[in-house]
Amino acid sequence: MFNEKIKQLQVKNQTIEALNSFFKDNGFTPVEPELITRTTSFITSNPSVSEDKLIQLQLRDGFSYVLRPDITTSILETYLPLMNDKDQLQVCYQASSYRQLETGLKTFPQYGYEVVGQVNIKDQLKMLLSISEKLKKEVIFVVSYPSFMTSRIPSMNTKIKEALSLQSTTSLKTLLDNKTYEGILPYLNQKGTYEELQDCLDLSVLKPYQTELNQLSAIIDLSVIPPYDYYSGLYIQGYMKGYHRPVLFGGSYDGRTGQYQKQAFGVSISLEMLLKEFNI
Amino acid sequence: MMTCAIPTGRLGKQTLDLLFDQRVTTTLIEPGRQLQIEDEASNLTFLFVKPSDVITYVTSGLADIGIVGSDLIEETKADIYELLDLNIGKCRMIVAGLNENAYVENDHIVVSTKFINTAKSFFKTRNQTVEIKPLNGSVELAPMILLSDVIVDITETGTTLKENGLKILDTISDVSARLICNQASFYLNRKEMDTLKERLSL
Repeated sequence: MFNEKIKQLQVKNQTIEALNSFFKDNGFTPVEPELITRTTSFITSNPSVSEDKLIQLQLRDGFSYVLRPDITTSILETYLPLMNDKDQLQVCYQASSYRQLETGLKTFPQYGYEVVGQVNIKDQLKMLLSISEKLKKEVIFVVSYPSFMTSRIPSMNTKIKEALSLQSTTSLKTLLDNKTYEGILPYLNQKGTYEELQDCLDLSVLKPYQTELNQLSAIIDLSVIPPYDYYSGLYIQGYMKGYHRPVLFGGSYDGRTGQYQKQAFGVSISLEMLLKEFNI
Repeated sequence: MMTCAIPTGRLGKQTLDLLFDQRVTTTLIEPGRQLQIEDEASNLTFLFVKPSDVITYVTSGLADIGIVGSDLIEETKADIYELLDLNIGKCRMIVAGLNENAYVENDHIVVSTKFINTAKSFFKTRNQTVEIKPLNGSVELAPMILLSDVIVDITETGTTLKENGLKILDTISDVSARLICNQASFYLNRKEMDTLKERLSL
């Protein structure tokens, strides 16, 4: 039992070293994200995340904090206010985020990276391709563009967002007016590669990245709604056989950094998957 | 081969009839005491589970797809995709009580239910604060023994409510059985999912 635990630790350390080395070669700096973040800061940028799921801490400075529910907010709070106009942030990390579930504390160990400053989406898609090439199994990438869908639903609210997250046409039909419902229905019903969908759906927001999306063999599903509100541009999830949740997710969150005139892109990858599948 | 979680009981029976009628299965599956049946013709393995456990099987990936009432989808807010309304297992999520006084007049209301999240979110929309008395069965008893002002529960015909002296005060939502799937399975088995959805849409 003890030896097994030590062996697991060694594999974890080796994998993280290999990941750090891979990301350093691609211009990233490993960082340690802060463990706690201001509650107001997190809630402001994620209004639809239920407060019941946050692990809140009341500290003696009079402020309320949460045990980091995601890493991006934590990294942005640390680095964004320090950045000058032309500064470029390229960091990678191994850390866990924390949520409160009915069964108790749930930790999400992950490896991730963030780019803040000037972001070239094509380069980011190529980066995802490089990562997938380092894995032992095929990753199925699913691509959406949240602001594209929200712009088609002027009356967006929590109920509609929940129905959209379920891809429930039954609920959406009752929640939306007929014109809006008919307008989004093709995006709920049709999923496929760029080539499969380009003649039947408006893919203009994805057109600049057509080549890279084809290289990734990405499935376009414009109805996907991300778990965090700050993702507004290109959003990607990765799935792999043998894993019942996305093994990676991330994308553009320029809206979160816009007040600093910065673009931003970040990806979080399941550490559990990387420990099994990353070719050291 | 995909795995399908079927609820035990009446909804399960209706589901198996539907799968046979729509030619998803070539024979009518009759589970008896078996909890797992592999059907090579349809390329599906069926797991027979408690209705309230279907979502757990699907979210944990033990089942790729499942059949579950929309009441449980609403209650759990699980990360699943809802593929289709199967138009079976129809009933209503309602508020019922001995009379409407507390429901209409009180700012604070005591509710007995097993649908805790559904009740909380419904009374929030009515600007009423709520104290929940969680119950798993015989919910109709609660107003009679003064455990709560009202109950939130599902009803098909309203007969049990009437027999216990309760009146339906409001309808929260219409409920029916839905075909759900695990989100990862949805993208990993896209063609199988599309075929199944197409057959059951007829």
